[in-house]
Amino acid sequence: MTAIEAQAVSKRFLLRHNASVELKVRFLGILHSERRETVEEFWALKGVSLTIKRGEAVGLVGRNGSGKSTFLKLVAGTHRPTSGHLLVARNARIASMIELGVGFHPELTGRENVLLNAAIHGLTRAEIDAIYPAIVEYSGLEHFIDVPIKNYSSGMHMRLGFAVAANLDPDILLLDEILAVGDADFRQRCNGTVEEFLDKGKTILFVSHDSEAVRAICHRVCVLEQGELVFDGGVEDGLSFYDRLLTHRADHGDVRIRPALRESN
Amino acid sequence: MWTTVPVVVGSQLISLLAVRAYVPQPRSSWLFRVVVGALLGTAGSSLVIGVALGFEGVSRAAFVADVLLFSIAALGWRGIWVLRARARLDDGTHPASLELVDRAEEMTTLRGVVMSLYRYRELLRSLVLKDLKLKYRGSVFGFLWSLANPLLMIVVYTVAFTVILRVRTQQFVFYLLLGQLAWTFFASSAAMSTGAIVDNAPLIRSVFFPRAILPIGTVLFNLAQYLLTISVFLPVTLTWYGVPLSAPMLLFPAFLGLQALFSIGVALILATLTAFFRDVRHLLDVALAVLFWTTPILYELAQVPERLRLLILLSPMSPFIVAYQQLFFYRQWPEATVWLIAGTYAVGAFVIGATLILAFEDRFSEQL
Repeated sequence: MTAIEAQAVSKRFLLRHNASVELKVRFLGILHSERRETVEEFWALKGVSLTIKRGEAVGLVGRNGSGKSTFLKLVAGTHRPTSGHLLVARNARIASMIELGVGFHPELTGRENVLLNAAIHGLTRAEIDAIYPAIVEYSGLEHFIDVPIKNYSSGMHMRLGFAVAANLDPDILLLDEILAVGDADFRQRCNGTVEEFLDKGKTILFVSHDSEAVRAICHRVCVLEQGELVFDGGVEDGLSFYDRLLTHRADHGDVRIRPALRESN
Repeated sequence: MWTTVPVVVGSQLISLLAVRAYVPQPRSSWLFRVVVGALLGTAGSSLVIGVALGFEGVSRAAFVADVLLFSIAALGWRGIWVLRARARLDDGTHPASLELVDRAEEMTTLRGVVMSLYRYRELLRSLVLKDLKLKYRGSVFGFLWSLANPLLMIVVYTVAFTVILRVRTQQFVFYLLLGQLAWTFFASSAAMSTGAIVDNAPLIRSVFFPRAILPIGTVLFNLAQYLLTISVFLPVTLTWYGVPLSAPMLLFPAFLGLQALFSIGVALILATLTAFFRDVRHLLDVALAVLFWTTPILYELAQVPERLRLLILLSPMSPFIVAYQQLFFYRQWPEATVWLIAGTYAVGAFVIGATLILAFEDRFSEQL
């Protein structure tokens, strides 16, 4: 049973230099070449093919800018692949813990924000009512739930965000190193939740640099390097491959492929 | 004449009930039943009218308008039922089914979008409630302000136009506010919609949901505001000026629906464009100022020189506002031209807006 299937997925970002959303500047660019918008292509992912089964916990490792987070965004559906197909199980609920508490409105109370945030994730009224008590209990913010979010500390803000994401009953969970932030108590809670998800056979996609965390959660590791999938296999093999990759790069210097420059207009 | 409309509508409804078109679970023969029902009803009503009044002076436009309304209602009925059935099907299959889908691709078809809008209806509701709550949060009188506003406007305008400007036209303030309030609904939806996508950038970058929800939400919020206002304004002015209730007023929901659809279309267009050109906000300010004066709000359509009249009526908001004035101020059935222009604008704006946001939706998360 496949949960996520990437078929030769590529993602191109256009880095705009002198970018402007103003019409005036666009017209000026016609006259002044130094003000002209130049567009640099950057391929964050190059032909990545990957099949993840339901119940698998996959660790995505790689250096900064290797395309890990881009892959998560494609799975989350906020970005679309430039070419290739990214398939997910129909009606799979995907919870991303990439940024917690996004969409919280400072003027609204904790309760109102929870209801709104759950709706943003596509839940119906009945489903929201069903999970609401669990969210409040999980966050441990019963006492503050009717206080506007603007009066919350950043820790409380995050706890509420995590509580919503954890109780959405997702089929696919996207984790992006958030376990590294927060106090010890919060970290423990997060780890507990992730273990619970693993027991329930949920699919987890975990992006991390921390090999300990990857060992604790994942049973498969994929290594990305400059947007390409260079390793796919067991946890220990993958982590040592990644270590060798890092030392190799350090020894031989970083050879970067110069991105193709092209001018717009 | 338009007075025959009730006979036509009544007779059609009766025959539709007779063929059981409006049953909770439409069957495959549903379309056939509706057509037969409508034909029977129209024929029956024509017969009644022909015998009772004779066909002399019977307006064909009345029949056309009726058929139009009727088809919209029938399609809406069918559409809601289909969506309900599908939603039930979807709910049944969670947790995830075996089938793999390309979510990005699925969101590029109109069908996919309508389905997802329906699935995210709770979000739409929450967004409108959020805006309403935020608007009155911290104010002592809360939503009473929405009710007090039209009353204050009536007082101010009455003083301004009867004491200071000495306008002789009877009920001028009623006429003016009728247009002015509907205009405010449109203008503030348009102005707010420019920020619908841009101001929600963090949300758009990190969560997947149909983006069209955001501009549609702002229009529905303004619609809610307008309904609050009008629910005070209409009763007060109708009693104050002693305006008799008349049958054409019943058409108000139809034109309000068309205006809402038109506003949604415009909001989708503006929200999408603003994501790529921030200038849209400033252009819109100018455009709204121009449009205000090309719409018969402060003046009557009849005052416009004959050769310019059609041009003024073609101004985007004119057909809707003229319709409200005809319904409530002149108390007559709107002409076929008004129906036609209003309908075309509403459907046209919606189709363009929906196409535009579908085509560029995927670039929002990178562009913002």
